[in-house]
Amino acid sequence: MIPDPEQVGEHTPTSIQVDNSVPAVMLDHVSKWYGQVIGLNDVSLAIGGGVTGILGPNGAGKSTLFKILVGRLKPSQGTVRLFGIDPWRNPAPYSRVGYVSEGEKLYDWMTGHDFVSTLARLYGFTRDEASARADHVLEFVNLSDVAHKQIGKYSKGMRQRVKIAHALVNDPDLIILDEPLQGCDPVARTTIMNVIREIGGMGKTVIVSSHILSEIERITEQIVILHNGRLLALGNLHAIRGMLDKHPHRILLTTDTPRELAARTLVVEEVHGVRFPHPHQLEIQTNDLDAVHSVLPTLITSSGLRVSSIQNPDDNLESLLAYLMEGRA
Amino acid sequence: MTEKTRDQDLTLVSDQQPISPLQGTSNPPVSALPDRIILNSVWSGLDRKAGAIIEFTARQLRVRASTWVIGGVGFLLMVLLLATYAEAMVEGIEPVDDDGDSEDWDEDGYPLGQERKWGTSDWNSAEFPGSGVFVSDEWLNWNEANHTGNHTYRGNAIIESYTWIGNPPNTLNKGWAQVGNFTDCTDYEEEYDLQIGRSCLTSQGTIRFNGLIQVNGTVGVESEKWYQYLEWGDFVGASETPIPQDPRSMYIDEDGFDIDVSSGNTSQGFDDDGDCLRDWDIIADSSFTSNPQFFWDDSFSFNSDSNRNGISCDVELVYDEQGNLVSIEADQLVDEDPSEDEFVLESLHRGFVLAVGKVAFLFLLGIFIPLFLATGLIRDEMASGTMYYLVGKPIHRAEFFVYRILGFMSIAAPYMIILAILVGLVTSFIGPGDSIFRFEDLTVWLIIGITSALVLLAYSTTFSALGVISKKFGIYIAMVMGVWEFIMAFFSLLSSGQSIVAWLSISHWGLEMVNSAALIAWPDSGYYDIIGSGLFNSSVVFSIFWNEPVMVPGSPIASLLVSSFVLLLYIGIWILIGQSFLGRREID
Repeated sequence: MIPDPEQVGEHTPTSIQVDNSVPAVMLDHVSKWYGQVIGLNDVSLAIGGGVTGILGPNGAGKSTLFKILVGRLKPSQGTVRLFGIDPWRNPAPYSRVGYVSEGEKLYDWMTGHDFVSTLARLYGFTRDEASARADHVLEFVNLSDVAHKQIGKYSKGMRQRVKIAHALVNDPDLIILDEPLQGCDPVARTTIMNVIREIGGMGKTVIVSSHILSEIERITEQIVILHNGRLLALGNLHAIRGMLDKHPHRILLTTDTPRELAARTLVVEEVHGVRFPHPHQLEIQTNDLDAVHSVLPTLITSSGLRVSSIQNPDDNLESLLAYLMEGRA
Repeated sequence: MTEKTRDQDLTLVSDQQPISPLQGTSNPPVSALPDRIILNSVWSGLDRKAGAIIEFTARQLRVRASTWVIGGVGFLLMVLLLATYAEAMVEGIEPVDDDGDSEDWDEDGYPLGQERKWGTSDWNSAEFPGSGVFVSDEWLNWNEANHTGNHTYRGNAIIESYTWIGNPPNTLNKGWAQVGNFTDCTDYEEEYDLQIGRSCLTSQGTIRFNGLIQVNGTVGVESEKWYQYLEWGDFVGASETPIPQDPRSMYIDEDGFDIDVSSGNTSQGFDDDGDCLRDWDIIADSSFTSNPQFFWDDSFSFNSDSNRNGISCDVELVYDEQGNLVSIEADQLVDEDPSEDEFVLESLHRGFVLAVGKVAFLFLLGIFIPLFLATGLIRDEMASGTMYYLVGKPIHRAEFFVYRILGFMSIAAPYMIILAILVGLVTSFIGPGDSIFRFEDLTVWLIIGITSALVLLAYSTTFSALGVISKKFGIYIAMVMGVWEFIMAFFSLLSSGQSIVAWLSISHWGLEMVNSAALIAWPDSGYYDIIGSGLFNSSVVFSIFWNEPVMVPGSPIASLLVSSFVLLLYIGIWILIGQSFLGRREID
């Protein structure tokens, strides 16, 4: 768990007066351009409470948005407020923010504990408080065993987790995670996703970005979709899923006997048609992905046919974006 | 503004979308920061934040190989310099015969200094102390062929006729020509020349001689014998007993400085070896005594009041209107051969202290350590993408800039101070002087240490700020500036701090501080400088490396304070520049 300040000392540099009227993040017509290139285009948004996924392909403006939020970049236009304060002009909100950037660079010569506790001291904690907090957050991200090992010897997943630990050490109200799962192995991904969900469950505001729809789906229902620097959509992922479901979907099965398998699947009511894009592939067309998926395992097992993979080519971000762009047009 | 709660809807955003809250009903809303949060969260725990950044920066520098390489090179440089210094101090300075009077040019066994005291020539082996000396009265002009009279003659000439010729007096002087049984001149002697002290009969019946002779008659020179000459006068100062020969070593370091600058007397000095205050009685009867210009050596003209202050054989100290010593002018042969141990060694020691302080500490380490280690303090973090770990905290970037510099200083300043203590201890223990330890040097080393720290701070602030101003070209601008500072440092050194151009450099003010320190610790620095550069050409080390402070002439403390203030002002300006640029710098 994220440390309770009362457990690690009296000093609470982040303790501030409460005003519930302001969202953690507010952007009002924010644009950012780099010379001729537009990074963010007229984005207005307010985020507060729970886990919010920022979804968008590479170059959509996710990192630019985050850098503006944490005061690394100055917006070319518009207003940004973190807890009601402009982060570019005033670093005060940082006391309540934890941020993990997409960059991989770390101080490899430090141990994980050193890294987290040293940076914790920059919030004004005493050395002992910082050390205790570092212990807690490292335990929270399952890095206790390697806390005193040099970061240079960490795996990719460990490096991401130590970055997350550093972002949690001040017990922030707002945690911004830029592509935290990028490059991690499946075990690390699962661990990090669990951590994010747990933080969100504690009532913190968590903003996490990804360009992979399934990743975000496993973390949160609340999403913001960015595309080419613009805010494309925002809302609940279930709604997106519902919209996608109403759209024709494809299921791609790899098998040595596609025609035999096709004959068996065509009896399913929700299957509209089949295609053979490859001698060893069967493409099933349907409007109800869930219904087909629910019967497909039984059908394959009872047929005795061998199927080496099942893929949903339409269930990805690109398809979603294409659909949304179509709807918008 | 469109209100949206977490339901099953998705909002497609139009081109001009409103601010769209995504507040979940199940999660508590966040709290806003109060208006004056900056006082609450940014400035609170400032010492802890400062300590953390300073400590982090120091650790970061410690793990870098370049830090150890530069530190090691600096340490080796000091060890080498100290080894050279220690060798010079332990071996001492070979005594030098500054006035050359230990030589015996005529090889008669009497050194020049002894011959000078006796008034004999060191170019004529026939003359030596106690031998007596011929004092010329008149000589044969170029258009005269002979002279008639009863005189003591000296020359290479012929006696055409005489009524009386005297035997040489009872003297050791070998210059007297023998008389009595004149022998015939040899063919060689007839055609060419005679040895000193020889006389002979020519084929024409005249007496040819070379040396001294007493004759009443007509003595002259032959028309085509260009080497012949004739003068007449008196022979004085002959001793009946031989005068012992002085060892040559007696005339090395025999006339030291007898000057006390603090006394304020303008006429000082004493002719310890007596070569200026020599006994002029031996020529008291000579007509030359009325003439202040004495010819007592074959090729040496001597004036006992060459500094023209109306006092013979003294050293004149010339002060300006402010009471500053501007020059020291000694009469010839006064205080002209001091002991190297007394002056040169001291001068060498002081020169070494200042050379190390200025060149090694200020120029080399002072410039290169910040150039290599401080230029990237901020720039490298921005370039490597780790900057946000440090500035993405409730700390003003302006503070961060200062703490980062302080972190660098926490490594560099102790390094310089330790080196200064090391060099200071060694030189104070083995330096010249009667005491075991030269406590007066501590002031100089203390101020060298403080100056080094100030200069380090100035350069590190400047180079760091340059790294922030231009991530791409900052290092190159810093290198150009380092070269400029290096050139200006030597320019200031060689122009005695008078060059206004050099005033635009950090190094000039550092040098001014060290010059002031030297004058505070060694009040007679001006005396050493003037003697070193003017009177005593063999020891100019101190003169090269010390200049009188120019900011407030006559007050080293005021000069020190003014120079420190200028450096602090410079540091302050560059901190503001660095803070300003870092505050506006986007960290991509």
